[in-house]
Amino acid sequence: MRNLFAVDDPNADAAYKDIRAPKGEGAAVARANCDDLWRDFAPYASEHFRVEFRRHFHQRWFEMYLAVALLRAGLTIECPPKGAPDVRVQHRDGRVLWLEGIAPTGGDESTSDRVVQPRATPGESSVAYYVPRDQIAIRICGALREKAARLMAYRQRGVIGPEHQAVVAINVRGIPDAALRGRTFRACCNLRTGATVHDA
Amino acid sequence: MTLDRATLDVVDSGFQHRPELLRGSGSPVDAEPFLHPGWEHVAGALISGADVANHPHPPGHDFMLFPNPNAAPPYTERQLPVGREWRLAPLVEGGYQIVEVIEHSKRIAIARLFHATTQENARKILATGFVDCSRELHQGRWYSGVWLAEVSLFELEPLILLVSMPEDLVRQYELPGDQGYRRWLVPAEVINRHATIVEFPRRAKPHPGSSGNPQVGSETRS
Repeated sequence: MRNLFAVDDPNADAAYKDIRAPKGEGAAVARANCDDLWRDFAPYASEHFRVEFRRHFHQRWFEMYLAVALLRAGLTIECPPKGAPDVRVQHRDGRVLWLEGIAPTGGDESTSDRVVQPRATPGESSVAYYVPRDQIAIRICGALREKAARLMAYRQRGVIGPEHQAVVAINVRGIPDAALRGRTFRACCNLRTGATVHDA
Repeated sequence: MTLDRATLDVVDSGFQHRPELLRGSGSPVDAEPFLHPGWEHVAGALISGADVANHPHPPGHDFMLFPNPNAAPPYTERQLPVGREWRLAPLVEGGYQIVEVIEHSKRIAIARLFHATTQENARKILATGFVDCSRELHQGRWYSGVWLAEVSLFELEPLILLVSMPEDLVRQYELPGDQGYRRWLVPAEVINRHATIVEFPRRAKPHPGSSGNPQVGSETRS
């Protein structure tokens, strides 16, 4: 099995570089987590996976995480090359379920509904802020819509059969504050002083 | 959710049904697509909140599957036995109600332990795995295995390996004694089969507060 972090790529994603040569405990644990997933995922990875893992780190990490989660749940999977959804689950009773993964971000500056995480001004105490729940939901709905369209195209091309099921897998970690597990606010005021706090 | 400012107690909470959201541009966004035509080809949405630094064990424990009640063919309950999934039931007045959140997996605590060694030995261990090399006499019986500690002992050796494995598997190998830190003597075969081993950076410190905690160095974040 080849090392997932073997290549020192100057154009690699910053997270890849940090985890490849950990300088702190968090990065070392992240490296251990990656190596643990890779041990099971390597036989399923396409020949381009390791290159894409360096360049599109979180998206490819999620693809690996999704596949290993299904494998360790005892499911039989395939990860087809390009031109098909990310994972194909073959059930023992003959049914087939496809999963198409996506890891949306908060959006770039061209997006009017982008989600931005406010940062405290250096030297000042942390601020509380409203979590933009609507914008987060819009980003997630957008990701779902994009992948639903992709699944429809796969069905029209016959890649996904009419009797097959298809699920969209959305990793929301790249959207600031989206992974708060339902606690969709940080605060709307300073609870100690009662001071009103505005979005930064 | 509403909080009492004096006591910080939650005094009220609830959900608001929002079938439609508005973009900044004013255009509407369908926030309940599975209830509308045109989505029958999608059996459900699986949501994950994990990332490389914050993922639970087993992988997928964070998953939440929302089935599309109008899909054709539909998702079958428990078809993806990972994380959690919603079970829906139709309402007489239309729409659906969440009647159960089905839990599929149980969280596994991961112990993060440390092994002090030399550069040369670390290379061998990372290439081919551990071999039993230490012995300990305990209650008249000799035990052999690999030393692991809850702290990174850079004062003993120049290099530290971080060994991550399910806490349940290492618990039985903890050694008695009062060294000022907890120690384990784990058979190499157990580590090689179940653990992930990476080099631990010299500047890093183990997670504070791990000493004395029964879940030493383990991941407890969700």
